[in-house]
Parts: sequence; structure tokens; C-alpha cells
Amino acid sequence: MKHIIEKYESRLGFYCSSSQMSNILRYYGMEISEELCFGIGAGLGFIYRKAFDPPLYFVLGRSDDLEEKISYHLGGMAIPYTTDDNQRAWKEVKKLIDCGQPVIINVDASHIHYLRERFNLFENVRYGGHRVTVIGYDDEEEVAFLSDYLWDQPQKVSYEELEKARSSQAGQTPPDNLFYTFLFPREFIPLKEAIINGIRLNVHNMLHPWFEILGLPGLKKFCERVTSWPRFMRPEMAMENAYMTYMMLGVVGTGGGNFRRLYARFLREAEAIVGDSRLNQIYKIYADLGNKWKELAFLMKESAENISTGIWSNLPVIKTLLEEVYQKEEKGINLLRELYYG
Amino acid sequence: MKKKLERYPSVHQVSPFCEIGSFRDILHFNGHDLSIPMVFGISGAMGFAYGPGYLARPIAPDYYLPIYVITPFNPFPLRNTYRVTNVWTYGRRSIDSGKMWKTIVKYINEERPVLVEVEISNYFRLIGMPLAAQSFLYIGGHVVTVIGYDEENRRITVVESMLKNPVEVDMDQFIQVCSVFDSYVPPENEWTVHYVPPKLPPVEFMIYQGIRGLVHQMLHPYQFSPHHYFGFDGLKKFVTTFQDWPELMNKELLMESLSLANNFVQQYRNGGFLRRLYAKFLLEAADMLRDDRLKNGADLYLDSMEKWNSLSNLISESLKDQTKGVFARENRDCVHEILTEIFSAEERGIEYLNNTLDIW
Repeated sequence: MKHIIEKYESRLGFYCSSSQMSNILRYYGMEISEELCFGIGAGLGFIYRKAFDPPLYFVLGRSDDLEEKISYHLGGMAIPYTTDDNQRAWKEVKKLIDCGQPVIINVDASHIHYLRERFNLFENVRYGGHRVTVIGYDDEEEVAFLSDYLWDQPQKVSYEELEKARSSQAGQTPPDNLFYTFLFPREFIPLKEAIINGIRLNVHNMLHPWFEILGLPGLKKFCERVTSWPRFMRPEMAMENAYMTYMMLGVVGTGGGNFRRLYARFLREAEAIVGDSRLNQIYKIYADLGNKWKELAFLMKESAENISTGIWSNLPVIKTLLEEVYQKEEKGINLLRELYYG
Repeated sequence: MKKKLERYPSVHQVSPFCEIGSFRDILHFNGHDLSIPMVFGISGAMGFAYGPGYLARPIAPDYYLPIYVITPFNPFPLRNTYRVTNVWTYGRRSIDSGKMWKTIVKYINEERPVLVEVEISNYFRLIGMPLAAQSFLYIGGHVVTVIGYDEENRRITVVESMLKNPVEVDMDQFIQVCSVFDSYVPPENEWTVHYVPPKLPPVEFMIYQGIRGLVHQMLHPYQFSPHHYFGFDGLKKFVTTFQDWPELMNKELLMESLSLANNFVQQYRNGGFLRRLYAKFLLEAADMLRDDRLKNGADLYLDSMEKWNSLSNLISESLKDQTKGVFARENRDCVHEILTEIFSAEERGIEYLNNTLDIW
């Protein structure tokens, strides 16, 4: 059996979840940019978490469950299905493909050949939360066709490789064979309303996260503690952490600048749709934050090469930069809060 | 090893709707004082779904039944509830019941109640509850909250949303009712834990979004497959085809379909096809927001509730004697009138709420 959804268009993107959602929504008749998907899905966030296997810090500027949040804000529903039964999940994915529905799934990026070739990241790192969209399969050749955010053509992946990538147990974020089924309404909730609801949820998430290592509290911890990492770990481990953080802040699927550039462009697009010129001022804050995070990412890269330089150089300018980042992040969220959160 | 979340029974409230009631308890356990009607209302889960289950393509891969199904709510009612309350969840299904059990123990030890899906007929037998009318179906889709375990004595403590007090049951038998893979809507050892933020979004946002969700879903229903009908699409299909049910299926399926419909309309969902519960939500929201317009909305849903109950009375007659009640020749015009009134009442409710949202 072979089935490929020919009509599906894979456009290039900056971040896996938002780009996949933009493609999926376009497939269902809604022309919507990746930036709007990111903002409506309340994608802005912050995670500062220490993992244990491998013992690396996970520092990232986004939130969770973007697929579910954007679907909700547009009047639909994204239904996640997770299981440790790889065959069961794959059978369901194929059923959806047979019905003409592209399916977003989780994969452990370290098991996917074209991702390994592209990113020098997976020697020790396991990340099972990378989203790709299955748009077809071929039982005879035993391959699946995946749409991925950095490729404009579907990528062929063997069933064996895909099974490993979907059921991998390693790391703090196992893929759990996740796939989403989407229920979309006949008409979507108007963009203006969806944008405001997305911003509200994002403000709430940043100010009142469900765990203190997330949102602004997590960001504060990161800014206060990152300069002291070498005091708590062996030099080679500190340097590996620095490299990993550089990749997560500036290279792997963030659109550069730890997702802040992506959010800035969302605000610029939102300004025109909502008709609220006050968003322009906040757009500038996030655009600037994008540059500051880029600067921080390069400092991490320097430290990864030489532990006495970069973020760990003890120069006063580092402390100032970290303080500025936190203050600006706080200012951006508070301005959005004043606009739409009350 | 043994552990029990001792405080949990004091936050539990009896609820006619397992998912909503269980989630309300979890919110309370984490310090958020929302009532059952309020959680139901903000979830936006009320709605209407109708379809011949045996033709319908399963949604993910649940929601498959061999009969005609009408439900007063949208599928997966908790999904959007998590969105509006900003609660993060983590859960999984498993082919390995031992793995599920280890996970439950781990979370209970962390003071976290665990929502678990069970197969209904065997579960009700296990906890000694009278079997629900739909027990002819071997079906999952019911959630309960595990709050304690005692490994030495092989006992676990479960909070059942329809019972006042927690029940202690045999651990191995309980695992068996979770570890079901061949039923309709199979539980497949599914468990979920919740990470509740210390502060929920402002209640006026949650109320607005809940009402918005209902209105939008009724007017612009989900489009999933040619045999799933949601919102007013579903209601229209239901009122125009319900009286043809005897021609659309054999007697056995007809009685099973009627039985399930009646359950939803009248019995374990607290009567009135959940419209009573929704009216309570609107009344509470009106008081909270000091907005009397929502009280008028509540009146409209109480009206709709009465129409659904009238239909239910006739269905009950049919379930006792197939020659009587809803499909009896002498009641044909009366049933037609009730169905028409149901549709009008639902239209009035949604139109009113939609207008209220416009000027909110």
C-alpha cells in the first residue's frame, strides 16, 4: 500500500511546531504565516531546566503544546495520542493519511539521518520533541515521507529509522509515539480575536507558569545563574553545556535570537490585523531582544571553545547584558499585559 | 510501600460528568475553588454530536461505537479545558500494565493524583455500583482518580466522580479494568497527571472563552468525516432522522442506541442533556461578573433542558415497551413537535449568547 498526500505543501520555516502548523492550516484552507501561528499558539516562553540523562541544561525560549493552543484559539481542537505501542500508533497514523489527513508526529531528532547530518548536536543529546508531519508512506519500499521545517521537499525515512525515532526512550523528552488528530471547524475564529487570546495566554504563561523554571521566573534564574555554571561542574561539562545552550538559543529551530525575532514579527503582523499601533512599540522591544539573545548565544559559543572567555569571562559587560535581557523581557510582557490582560 | 493522598477526599465533590468532576477535584486539590458547573462552562465542552457510530471513522482512534450516538458534549471534553485553565498535562497509553502501575505509584509518591481511564462495565462491577444502562457495551471512556495504593495488601484507593467517598479496591482487578484493548474506546492503560499553575487566568477570560467555544462550535462545527455531525449540523441531522431510526437499524441496535441516548439525556449526566448544568454555569457566571444578561441565557437553557426531558420520557417508555413511546405511531406528531422545539430552543440559546458576546 502506498499513499502520498500530493496536495500538501511543505514551506520552509524557522521552528518545527509553528511551521508545521502553518502548513497544516494552509492545507485546511487557512492561509496563515508561521509567525501568526507562533503568536496565536502562545509560543513565547522560557525553559531553564537541568536534565539528568545526559546532565545538560535545557535552555529554550518557547512554550509547550503550541499545536493544541493554536487549534483552540482558532475554534478547533488538536487531540494528542501518546503510547508506548509504536505499531499501534503507526497504524493510526496511516489510517489518517489514508483519509487525506497529514499527521504531526514527534521524533527523537538524533535518530533521523537528515537531521543528524545537518546539526552537529546529537553525540550526547536526545530530543524527542521534534515535530515533523507525515504526508505519506509506502509499505512496499517501507518508507515514510516527512515534511520538516528546514526542507521544502518531503524527506524519505525508512520505517526502521522512524520506529526508532518515535519510540526512543532516551533523554528527558521521549517522543512517546505522539501523533495529533485535528478537528477544525467549518469557519475559524476570526484572526483578530485569536491573536488577542494568544497574547493573553502568553502573558499569563510568562507571569504565572505551572513551574518556577518556566516563564519569567525561569528566565530570572537563568540570568542570575548562568555565569556560575563552571563553579558547579567539570570544565568539559560546562563547555558542553555552553555549546548546547548556544545551539538551542541561536541555531536549532528558534529563528535566531531565542524565538524573540519570530515573536517580534508576529507582533508586527498582529498590529496590522488587530489595528492596534501600540503593538509596534512592543515589536521593537522583541526585535531588540532577538539581537540580545543572539549576542548571548555567541558568548556561549565562545565559552564552549574556551571556558575563560565569552559568558564566563567575568567582564562587567556580561552582567549588564544579562540584566538588560531580563529587564527587557519583563518590560515586553508587562506592556502586553497592560494592553490585553487587564 | 503504601501512600494515600489524605486531603483528597475532602476536596472531592460528586459530579454527573466524570471528566469535568475529576478535573474540578484536581483544581481544588491545587487550591483553585471552581464549581462543577463553572468548570463545565469554561471548558466549552457542551455541544452536540451525532452520527452512526458504525460508519464513523474513529477519531484518534477513540470515538467508535457500533450504534447511533448522540452526545451533549464535544469529543475529548478535557482537551480545551486544559487550554482555558492553562493546566499542563502529561499522560500516555501503554501496552504494559506493570509500567502503568509503576507510573501511578511514582506520581502518588509525588503527591500527584492520577487520572486513569477504565472499561465501564467491569469497573462498575468492581466498585459495586449498579450497572449503568449502557453496560451492554464493553466500553472505555470513563475516567477515575487514583489517590492511594497499598502494595503489601494489594489495594488501591480510587475516587469515583459519581460517589461521595473514595473506594478501596483490589489492585490487580483494578489494573485489569484499565488494561483493556479490545473494547470500544479502549482504555489501553491510559493515565494522565496534571501540573496546575499557582494562578489561573482571570475568571472573566475563562468564562468568555468557554461561552465563545460553545457558540463557535455550534455555529461552525468541526468537520471531520462525512458521518460525524457536530453542532447545529448534528442537531439538524438528528431532528430530521431520529424518527427514521427504526428503519435505519435492527431492533437490537435500535434499543441500544435509544438506551445510550437516554443515558445522556436523562440519567447519569444529571438530566436535561447537560443543559441544566450549563444553565447553572450561566447563573454562577452572571453573579460573578454581575451581568444579568447571562441569567436570561440560563433561562433559555432551562427551557431547552425541559424539551430534552420530554423526549427522554418518551424514550424511557420505548425502552420498557417497544410498541410504546417515542416510535409509537400515535406519538409521531408529538415527537416531531418536541424535536422541532428542541432545535428552536437550542437556536435561541446560541443566538442569545452570540449576541451577548458581541456586546461584551
